[in-house]
Amino acid sequence: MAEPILEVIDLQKEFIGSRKKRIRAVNNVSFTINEGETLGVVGESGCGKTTVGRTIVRLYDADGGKVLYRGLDIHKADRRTTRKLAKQIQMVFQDPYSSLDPRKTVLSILEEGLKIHKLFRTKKERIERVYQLLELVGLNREHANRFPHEFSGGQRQRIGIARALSVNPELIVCDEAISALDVSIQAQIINLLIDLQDRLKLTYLFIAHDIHMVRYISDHIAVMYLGTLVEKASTEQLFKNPLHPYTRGLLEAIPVPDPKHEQQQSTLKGEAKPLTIEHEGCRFYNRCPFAKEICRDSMPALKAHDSGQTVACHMVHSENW
Amino acid sequence: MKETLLEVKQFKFSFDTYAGEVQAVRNISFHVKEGETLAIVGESGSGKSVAVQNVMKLIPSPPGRIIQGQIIYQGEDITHYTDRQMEQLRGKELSMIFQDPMTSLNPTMKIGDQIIEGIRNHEPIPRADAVKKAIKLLTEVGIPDPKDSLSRYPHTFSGGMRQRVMIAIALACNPKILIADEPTTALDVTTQTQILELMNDLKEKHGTSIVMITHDLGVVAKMADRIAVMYAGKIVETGTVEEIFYQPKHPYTWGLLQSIPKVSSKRMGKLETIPGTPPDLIAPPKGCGFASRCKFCMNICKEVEPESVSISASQSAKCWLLDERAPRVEREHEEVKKYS
Ligand SMILES: Nc1ncnc2c1ncn2[C@@H]1O[C@H](COP(=O)(O)OP(=O)(O)OP(=O)(O)O)[C@@H](O)[C@H]1O
Ligand SMILES: Nc1ncnc2c1ncn2[C@@H]1O[C@H](COP(=O)(O)OP(=O)(O)O)[C@@H](O)[C@H]1O
Ligand code: SF4
Ligand code: SF4
Ligand SMILES: [Mg+2]
Ligand SMILES: [Mg+2]
Repeated sequence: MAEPILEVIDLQKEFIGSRKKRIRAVNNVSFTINEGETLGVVGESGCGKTTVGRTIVRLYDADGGKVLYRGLDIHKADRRTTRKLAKQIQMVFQDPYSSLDPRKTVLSILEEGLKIHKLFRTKKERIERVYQLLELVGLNREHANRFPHEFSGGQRQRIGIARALSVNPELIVCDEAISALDVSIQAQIINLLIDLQDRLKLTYLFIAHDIHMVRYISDHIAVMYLGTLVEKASTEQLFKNPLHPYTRGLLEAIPVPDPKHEQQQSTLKGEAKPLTIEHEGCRFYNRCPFAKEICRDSMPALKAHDSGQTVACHMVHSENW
Repeated sequence: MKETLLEVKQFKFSFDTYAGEVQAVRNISFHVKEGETLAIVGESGSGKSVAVQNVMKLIPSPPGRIIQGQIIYQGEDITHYTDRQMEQLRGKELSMIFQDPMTSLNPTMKIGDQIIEGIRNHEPIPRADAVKKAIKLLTEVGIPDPKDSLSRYPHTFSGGMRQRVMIAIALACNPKILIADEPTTALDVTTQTQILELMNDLKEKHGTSIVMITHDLGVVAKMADRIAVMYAGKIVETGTVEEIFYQPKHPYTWGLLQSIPKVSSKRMGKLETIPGTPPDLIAPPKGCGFASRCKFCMNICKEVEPESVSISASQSAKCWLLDERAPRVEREHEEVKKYS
């Protein structure tokens, strides 16, 4: 049996929105990831995926709940452990523009982690490692002495991936790590990530909105909507039989790469509105084609369903579904 | 006949860097007609953004430098327009939205003020009217609580919301051409669908032409009338959406279409890719730019650059395989496979 490497338990995170309203960006989110596996997280923009990721790498503190890394509460760790965790849990960011220091060359960006964690003794070894990393992510060694602004968006994203890989982490939070890349490079990076996973037993939390790629790389998928987890399933199960009304809308919205394909109009209308902490009821209520009165008044709990996944929806769990 | 709005002719553009001259765009020509959507696809670093940013004159010189060519907007040569002259066109005639709205939104300014400023730069209307117009625009692009949103700062919006705000600003003055550089790349599919439908609505309602850069072939299939495929600073193939999807002629286009995932799980095998990396544009190859990665590469390919060969009135490609003396080769996967 694979061991859980990461356990997220009832995680909560709030932000102060406009007019001092408290917005719950992440609301009681729980999941586990087993060592060597990939959990995909999908969901609409603003639903809190990035916030979950950033809390796991301790860029944010949690406002409730906890994150256990190999059983250890990461937000309560002492300094030495925190340092160790910083090496073991790495993040690749969504935004390749602001996540790289514009004043540093690629070489010094990639060298930084190696120095902090004292991974190589000599400069020569470090530089060799940087060259190796660049080639690993499909760049070449000539790029080492250039600055981030001299690269295109996709190239910058590859530098971000190389930086995360540089310190040999165990868990990588990939937040939209491939979204800025074109298809052929996406496929290369995904093949690379899987290859590295097999070789190094890496674990991934893979946040992305390209559902094909999430499907391909993930063992399990968690679907988020406005800060809550609405459905969790093995990848196969989720695609075979999506249950939550939001998941269904999401899968329908995938554009098909065939000009003759008549895409059905998306059933998902409207817009997810950030909700204040006082909100009761299902967060999908205002957009759900199946909503009933009960959905407005009480928040559905995430429960196991006969077909094998867990899902949070009153109607799916009701008898006449 | 639809009028040609924009024409880019034999355009070459380089960046002067410490390492040398980066030849980002190496002699490209394309045009955009009234009310049509042109999609530009191609690997990252192939020069798509540089090409369209030149139309908007967004690249400072130095480090950028026009080497040759012309940009013609409605019959007028705008290649060497000054910033002052461009101000007349930006927003009103040509508007642009970016992949990362944060780079073009001012982080220190409230959303409302940014939109209102945009409107009043081109239309001398009272502030109160501009506020009304801003609310209307935000409603049109699907921002919830548009009135409230006016007083928020960009960083408090999620990616999708920021992109909607960008589109609202870009549309404030009804431009004739909307240039969208990866407008939905940072967005999830449902938001993407809404933004694309929004763009298509605008195209229908106002006859706006769209130039769209994207690497998502699903998005291309849904949006484009015509496609230009770029590789290493050149347009290697161009044609209607049907021609490119069903009868592509260039090996790079084949590779691109083959990279659409055909297996749905890592347990079922690797994803197909185009092995190798694009050439360094400081020292671009003298022959075909794709030669180092092309399965069909012949001796001539490395020596001499292939000319553009027209296949139909709308399709052309640059590849030695199209020369009558070349051997006939078959594309491996004829069909555009459908997702299950
Ligand atoms: N620093 C902040 N201050 C206020 N609100 C914030 C802040 N950061 C995020 N939010 C809000 O928290 C919610 C979740 O944001 P988050 O960026 O985590 O979503 P996401 O799923 O990653 O979206 P996207 O895919 O668009 O990046 C959104 O409503 C967002 O507006
Ligand atoms: N400011 C710059 N300075 C130097 N090189 C640049 C600059 N901007 C882009 N480039 C180079 O120009 C080429 C094309 O970049 P770009 O148009 O951004 O690619 P993409 O097709 O991904 O949009 C790349 O090789 C990139 O490294
Ligand atoms: S609980 Fe009700 S509103 Fe929520 S998803 Fe289920 S049916 Fe729709
Ligand atoms: S010209 Fe030669 S190398 Fe270039 S794409 Fe055609 S066959 Fe391949
Ligand atoms: Mg995000
Ligand atoms: Mg680009």
